[in-house]
Amino acid sequence: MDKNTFTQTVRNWLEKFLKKHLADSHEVLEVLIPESSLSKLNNEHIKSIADYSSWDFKPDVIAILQQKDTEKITLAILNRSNSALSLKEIGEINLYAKLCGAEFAFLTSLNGISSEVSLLLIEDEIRERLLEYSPNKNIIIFSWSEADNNVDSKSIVPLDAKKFLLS
Amino acid sequence: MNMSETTLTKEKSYLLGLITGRGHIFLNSKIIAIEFSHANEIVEGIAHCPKCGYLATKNGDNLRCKNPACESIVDKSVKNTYNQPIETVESLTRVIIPFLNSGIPAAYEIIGNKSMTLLVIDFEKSQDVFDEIVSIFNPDLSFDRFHIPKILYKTERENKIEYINGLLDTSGFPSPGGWLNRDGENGHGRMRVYFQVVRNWHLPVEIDNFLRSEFKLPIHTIDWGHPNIRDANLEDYFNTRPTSWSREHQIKFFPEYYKAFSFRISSKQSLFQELRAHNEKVVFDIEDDWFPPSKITRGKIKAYHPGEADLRIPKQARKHFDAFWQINLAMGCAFLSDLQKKSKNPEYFALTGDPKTEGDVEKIKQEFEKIRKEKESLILAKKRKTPNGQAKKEIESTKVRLSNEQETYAPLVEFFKKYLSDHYQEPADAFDTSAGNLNLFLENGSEDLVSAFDYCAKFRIRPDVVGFLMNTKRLGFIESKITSLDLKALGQLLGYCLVAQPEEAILVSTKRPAVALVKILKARPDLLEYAQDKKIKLAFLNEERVEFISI
Repeated sequence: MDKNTFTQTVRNWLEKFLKKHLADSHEVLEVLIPESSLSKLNNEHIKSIADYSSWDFKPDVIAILQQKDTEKITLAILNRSNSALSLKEIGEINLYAKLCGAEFAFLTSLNGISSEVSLLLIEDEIRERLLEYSPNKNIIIFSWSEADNNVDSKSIVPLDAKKFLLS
Repeated sequence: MNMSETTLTKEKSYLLGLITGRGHIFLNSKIIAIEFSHANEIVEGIAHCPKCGYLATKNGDNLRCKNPACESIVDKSVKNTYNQPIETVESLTRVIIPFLNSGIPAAYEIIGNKSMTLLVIDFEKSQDVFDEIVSIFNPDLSFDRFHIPKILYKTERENKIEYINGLLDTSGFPSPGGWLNRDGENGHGRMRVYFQVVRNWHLPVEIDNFLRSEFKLPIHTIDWGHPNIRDANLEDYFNTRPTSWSREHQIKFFPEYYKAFSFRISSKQSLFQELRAHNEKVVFDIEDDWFPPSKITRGKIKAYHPGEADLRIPKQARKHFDAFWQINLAMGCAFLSDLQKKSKNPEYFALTGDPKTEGDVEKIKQEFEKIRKEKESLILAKKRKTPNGQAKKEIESTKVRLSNEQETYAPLVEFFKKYLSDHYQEPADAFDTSAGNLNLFLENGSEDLVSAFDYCAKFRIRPDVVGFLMNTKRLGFIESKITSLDLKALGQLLGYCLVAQPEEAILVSTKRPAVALVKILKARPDLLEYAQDKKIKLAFLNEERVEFISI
């Protein structure tokens, strides 16, 4: 699968996933494949979020969410990679998620996580340091199965995100 | 509780084999993770000619029968295909986990992807077994350092077999592509299986010696990940892959002698059976064991290779070799040591493989030296000849690529040594570690470093320069770039820092940071934090001077 197709595929998945899982709490306003950094996107929803002008970065997919009770607008971000994920990709999305105070941050790859990183992520303390970008909010990593056109259920990290992602 | 040869079971022996091959022990979380790598999603079996039954091999886009009297074009569909990730997960679920669980109650979980499946065993509820395993491998925690446990030499035969079965499931690879060009009674091509040993330099000889001493089995060869063996003609060195030799080691054997063993991973077992059946049908009348070694004739002498001094090679093998078995000897092969002791002149034997000649050591050394240098000169001369400019272009493009970022490492190493010792008022050292993971660098570094920084063995990370504060055993990282610093570069170093929590972390570039990054960091300086009171510093490498950038 080429990069563009993969991006489109996971964009569609993200939209469907969020609409299903957040139906009670959020409205999914838009799911976008940004063409420029978020600070330069001509998007009224994003411009309504504080500090957006310093968001000089471009995730592969973003979803703009609105909390139903408070009407607060937040983001879900997703980065995708065709090769096995390394610390570089994890560090990058960790920064993006911190910067925009993401509600959810996903990282996916057609080739899963590199073996070195898989092993580091087994250690509780290291995994928490790498994936937690704000209190009780973790980056969720998974492989994308081309064969099933879905999340590879065996690949989800952290393990306790499995229920959330697959329910 | 200590595991003894009397309490060792088949399940435990098999698990010890899995762990030796690709295991990682996590002491704090009481977890053992075992890797089952399958780099290729689909693997194919052997192709035999439907007309005559001979081996058929690739010939352009087709397969062609190797029988000179047939030479038919053979359709690829004659090959069996195996989906490794799917079969690995199925074998783990249906066979391996139930087998292990019958003797070792623990929580077993499978995670993985197309290139690797990971079996994670949580021993929280069976701490005794975990402690036993830890004591067996003590002080090592990962497969790149494990030895064959001593207990395996004393246990009964069926446990030894299970140990090898475990080793095979994680590090054994039956591959029809690894056939040897040999004629048999009824055909051609002798199939081989290999143990793939990654970054562990003592295990290949231990496996060889274990199979010989405990099962009297032959080994065809050990293909060492050493520059003299893998890149003897310096082809890769001059072809933009200067360190391609630093891959795994392979211990190759003929499957027909290994009937006592079996894989539990079904794709591997099917291939193993295919290879064995082929060799048994073709019939080879010699064992083709590497031991005793062949003599090193003048024609086998190898040119010097710049990689011989590479730090990734352990001290014993960090030198020139003309034959693979000389590395076996250097790495402690008991069979060779014994033969050497019994030889007429042990030093002459080590140089030539000849146990029966007294020989003149100085003379043969000079002679071999001369041949190595002549071969080296010939290779260099050949590379300098540029009839179509290709070789020269390759060398130049390599140099251009290597200039840039790699050229920043040496001044950064010097800077970091001084900076750390001045700033922290204690002895400090720094190294260019860009070529390999930190854990590997430490493993093959000096004994002082290894003992002081043993806690870093689990850090499979690759910063460009690592500094060591020798008294307080703290680390420092530098990540170097030749482009303007941006969030991606910061994210990379942040990843390393979140893992290892060094005392110092510097992101440096030969260019000033991107304005966008400075803007972000002015607004959010907390993005530089990787631990309490620890922040990544940004710097500009101005010629050879490091200037810190204040945010």
